[in-house]
Amino acid sequence: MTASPEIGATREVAFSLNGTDVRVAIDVTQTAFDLLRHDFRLTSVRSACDGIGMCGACTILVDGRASPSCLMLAIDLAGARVETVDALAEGERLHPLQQAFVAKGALQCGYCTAGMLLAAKALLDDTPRPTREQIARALTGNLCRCTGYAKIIDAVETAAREAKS
Amino acid sequence: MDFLAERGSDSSILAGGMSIVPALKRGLLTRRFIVNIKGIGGSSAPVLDATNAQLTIGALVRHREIETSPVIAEHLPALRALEERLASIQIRNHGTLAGNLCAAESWSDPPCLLAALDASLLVVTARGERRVSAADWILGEGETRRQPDEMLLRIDIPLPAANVGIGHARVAARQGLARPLACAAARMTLSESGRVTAARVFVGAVGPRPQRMTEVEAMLVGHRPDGGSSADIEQAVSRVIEHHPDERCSARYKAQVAGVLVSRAVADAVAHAKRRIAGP
Amino acid sequence: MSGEERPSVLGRHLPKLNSVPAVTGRNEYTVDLSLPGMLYARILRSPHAHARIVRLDVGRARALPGVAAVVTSEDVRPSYLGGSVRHRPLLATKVVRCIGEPIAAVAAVDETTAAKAIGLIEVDYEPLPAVFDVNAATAPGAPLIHPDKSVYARLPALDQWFVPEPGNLSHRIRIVRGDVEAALAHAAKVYKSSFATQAVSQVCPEAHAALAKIEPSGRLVLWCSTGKPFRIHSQVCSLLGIDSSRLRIEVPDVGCDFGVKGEVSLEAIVTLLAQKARRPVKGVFSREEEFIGVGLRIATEIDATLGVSSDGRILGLDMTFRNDIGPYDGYGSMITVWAAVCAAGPYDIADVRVVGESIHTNNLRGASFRGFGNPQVSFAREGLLDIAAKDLGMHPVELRRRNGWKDGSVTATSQKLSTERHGLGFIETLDRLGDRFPPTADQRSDTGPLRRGVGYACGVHGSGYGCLIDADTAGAIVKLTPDGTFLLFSGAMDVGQGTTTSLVQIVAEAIGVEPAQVILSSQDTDAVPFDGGASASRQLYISGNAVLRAAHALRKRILEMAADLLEIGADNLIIRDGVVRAADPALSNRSIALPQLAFHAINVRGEQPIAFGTYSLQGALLNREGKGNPIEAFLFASQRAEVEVDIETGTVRVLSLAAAHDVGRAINPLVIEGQIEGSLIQGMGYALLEEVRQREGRPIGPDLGQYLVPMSADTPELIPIIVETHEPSGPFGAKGVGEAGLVPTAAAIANAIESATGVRVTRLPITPERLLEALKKQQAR
Repeated sequence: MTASPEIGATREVAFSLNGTDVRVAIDVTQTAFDLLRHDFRLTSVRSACDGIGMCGACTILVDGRASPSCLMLAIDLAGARVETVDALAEGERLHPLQQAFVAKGALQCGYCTAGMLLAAKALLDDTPRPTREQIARALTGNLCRCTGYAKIIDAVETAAREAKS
Repeated sequence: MDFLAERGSDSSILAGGMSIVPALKRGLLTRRFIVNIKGIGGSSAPVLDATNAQLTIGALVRHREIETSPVIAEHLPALRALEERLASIQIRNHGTLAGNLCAAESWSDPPCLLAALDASLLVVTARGERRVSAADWILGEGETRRQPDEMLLRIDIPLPAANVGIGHARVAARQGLARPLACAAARMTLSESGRVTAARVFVGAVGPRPQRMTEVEAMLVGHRPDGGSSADIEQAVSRVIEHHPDERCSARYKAQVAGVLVSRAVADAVAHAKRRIAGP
Repeated sequence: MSGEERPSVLGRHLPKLNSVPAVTGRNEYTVDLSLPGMLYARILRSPHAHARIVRLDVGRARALPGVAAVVTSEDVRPSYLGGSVRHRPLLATKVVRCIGEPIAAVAAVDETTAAKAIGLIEVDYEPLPAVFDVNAATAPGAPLIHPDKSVYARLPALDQWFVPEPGNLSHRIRIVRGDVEAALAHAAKVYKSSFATQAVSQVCPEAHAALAKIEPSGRLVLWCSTGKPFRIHSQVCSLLGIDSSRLRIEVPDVGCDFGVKGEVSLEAIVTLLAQKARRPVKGVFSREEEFIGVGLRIATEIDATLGVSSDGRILGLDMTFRNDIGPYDGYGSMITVWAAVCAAGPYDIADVRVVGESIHTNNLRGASFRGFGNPQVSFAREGLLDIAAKDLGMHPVELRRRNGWKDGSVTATSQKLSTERHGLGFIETLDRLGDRFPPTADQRSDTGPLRRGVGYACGVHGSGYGCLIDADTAGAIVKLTPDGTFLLFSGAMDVGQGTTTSLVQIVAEAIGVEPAQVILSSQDTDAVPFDGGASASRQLYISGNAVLRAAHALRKRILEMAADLLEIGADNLIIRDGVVRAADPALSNRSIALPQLAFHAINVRGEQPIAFGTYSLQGALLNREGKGNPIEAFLFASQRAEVEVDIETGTVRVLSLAAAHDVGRAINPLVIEGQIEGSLIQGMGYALLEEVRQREGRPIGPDLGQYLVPMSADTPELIPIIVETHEPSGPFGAKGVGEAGLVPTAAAIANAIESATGVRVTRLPITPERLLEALKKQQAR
């Protein structure tokens, strides 16, 4: 176990971010959200709830798992494979989930979209053929105020169907 | 543990961070140190200890691991069902059951079920260790029996015997990402003749601590499970339940609903026991 | 005129314009912007619901290192904000009238310093007696929130209803048709009930955000999150005494605006701080400020009486409602008027009296929120109709059909409706709902403690501000660019609802090109013509007409220029596949591609291939008795809810929500479905979950852990049904849909709960506790 002698001390943390190895100095009390959004300027990592884990807009993937970056310390990213939505597309080629969100109208204002896509990706990586109920459950940590969720669930279902088996 | 021995009263313990991090960000952590225990080792998944007939969940086991554990699915499906509904996948991927118990927030499901399961918590210090029953662990909102120099190392759950069933029921304002307004859990033991020989019944989320429903247990033990009526159970619950104010709903509603949930948890536990007795 | 043999662009399920940026995380909201040297703003807010400010000392805050500016009301010229009544100061002067009211603001080098500076501002308050409900506020001797209300400027359209006597009653609106008392006295059946609705927060995922900067030229640039940039522009300028040409507003992506982002607070504060500090200043509201510092949907109390004949004709409706608008009348009285206009619903009722009151209290202030007062009164009316239908033994849809508007019907404001002038699709929405769900699908069922039931509700809304302002205006510019694409300059905003995508389709259809050939310019108040913005379900209808006019005008000019060049009459030319060519296939070699035509226009003819269009909905103000033609394009909605109630716990699970909407013409069905579905879920939240509860004006649980909105696991089956009737005055026959989806939903759910359990809850939200209490009362009988 590591005991931090003082709140406010700095440490170095090394992890893989969207496929690139990074090593950066952080404040030990810094959240993963803060590190990614402010230090790495990944504005696709968003917040709508003042960091209490109730909106899902801050969702990132850590070792493939949907994770609440606002509730995690940056230091706990050490050694992990971290992905934001920026890693989803391959160059200009959209991931099937991204394509499905576009085609199915699964976004309106777009604010929740990045977090939603990552939660959906984590689901499909774990459960390639989810039922609508499973999709709804997997995304229930991601707040959307625009769509009513129906087209989001449609899009995930579509992406699952069209993914290579 | 030496650090905690010296600075425990000025430290907060960090596992998953689901409670600590938001408190930190809001400037609500009154203690100076955060002790990050991620390196302590131990299994990351629930472990079945067949000799001791118990399931062990270590301090670092996350909700998601409990939710997907084959061992839990086989032996404690009620716990799996609880975990499936808990918070969100994001929180389950990082939050720990031990952390949930130490945060001791009133509106929470696990303390109640663990109390019904007669789980015990192993707490360690630099000096040694001790056990606290899950039913006694929580003292008040955010307060547990953990001493400043102690750390919760693991939760041990006795394996339910073949004639034992577990039930859990909850009410929440919405389906997803919702804390319970009230919950109840029951562990029911049936004899070969189908009578209730033992009962552990708890209500949770009504106040800060799980409340044991001894009167309900007394009504059930010795009788056929379908002998009493749910109305009797509900009345018994409303007689004994402690009333706690809550911003989300009145104490009266919680008491009414707690009675219903106790009936349902008991019924589910009995049905579960009967299924197990009947065999595959 | 266009699209001769080519398939129409209208009706296409075109993904929204912002789709790829959104899914790749490249979308950019005001919250994401930053500039070098930027300062961070924080606001000091009142902790009291009603108090005099006895002393305000910002000295220590100003002296804190890292603080660049501190402003109070002394830094703002005496001027006020407000749509209905201009009496809200940007920063409190001598009195604060609700919790959260801004008193001072700071700009500092980082957020920590800004927060610290706020803590150093010294304020002494003298609490004043306060009122927290409309009854206490209008009781004799109630403390006056605005003792001298006659001094403030008011919206002219509301003047006839202004209540000048001292008191907290601001306006009283009356809409009268016929003699309702006589009608009720003679009606075979009379039904009466009271209803109440709650304050609700918009929960826009992107909080209010603004960034202001002074350009080298001295002009101000303001980036902000809003659906109504021109409205923000005029408020900021008039408030701060800036000439309107000195301010430019740019709006990047917007993370929702359901109405609340049309009233200035942060935007002007940030601009003021930037002026003082001579550096860029950015402010972003916390989620808590999104609850406390911005307006909420108005809480309403409604009393209604319905008179019906024994064969189900509605003879009279008498409704009185009281709106708690909070201390400042931004949109409160306007909302009261609109609610009164829509209160009688899409039914031809000969005798109607609707009285609406807007009442000040010291609760958190009311704001414009999708529906604009209509969901509240519709909740009452549709509940009462259901009571009547049940008593008469009529199917709820049948009662509505029997009384629904048709050609020749007359509204409560005595407006005569004709299908020549208006698309009147109400009955058709009932029919289409019935097609999808025949009465046999409305069976109740019981399983243990679970009860299933079905409920219906309907409503009518309108596109535009019709009866509230003189002219509801939009303009548009379309320009042919050198690569043959068309650039559309429109002040219409996409705040998620996707109207701008439909506008692009309108341009494409009108000119005869693919939507991909039409590019929407960025939102910049310098560059786009005035537009009222995303509000009042107006953009597709009003901005759409402006855009259509501009597109038609440009097409005409293009054909005229091509006609000269190709020596073929303009009437014999078509635009197809990016080329202007002869309609006669035999002359197919006589053609010119659009890029070449653009070049030719500018470099040979010496003219600009650009056209302008404007459209306005002329205001039709109501007279003293509420008579007039307030709505031109009616938006009809008929909805059906199926619920499952656990009668032992009071919890409600919505199984399905179906909504049939008359949209005139579906320019983009994907966008329309999205609007309907989104508003159904907001309506569900309104019905069952959401409330900003206040105790003595202080919100309880202003965070997303306690204020619950529907999440994906709560979503029922959603069934949007698009009905097209052709709106004569709409662009290609289209009108709006944005708000109509929310109008009847809570009523449909409440009616379904009644159908399932026999219990009617008349107060929103129908929480498990409220429902269980009602169920227990019923059992006790």
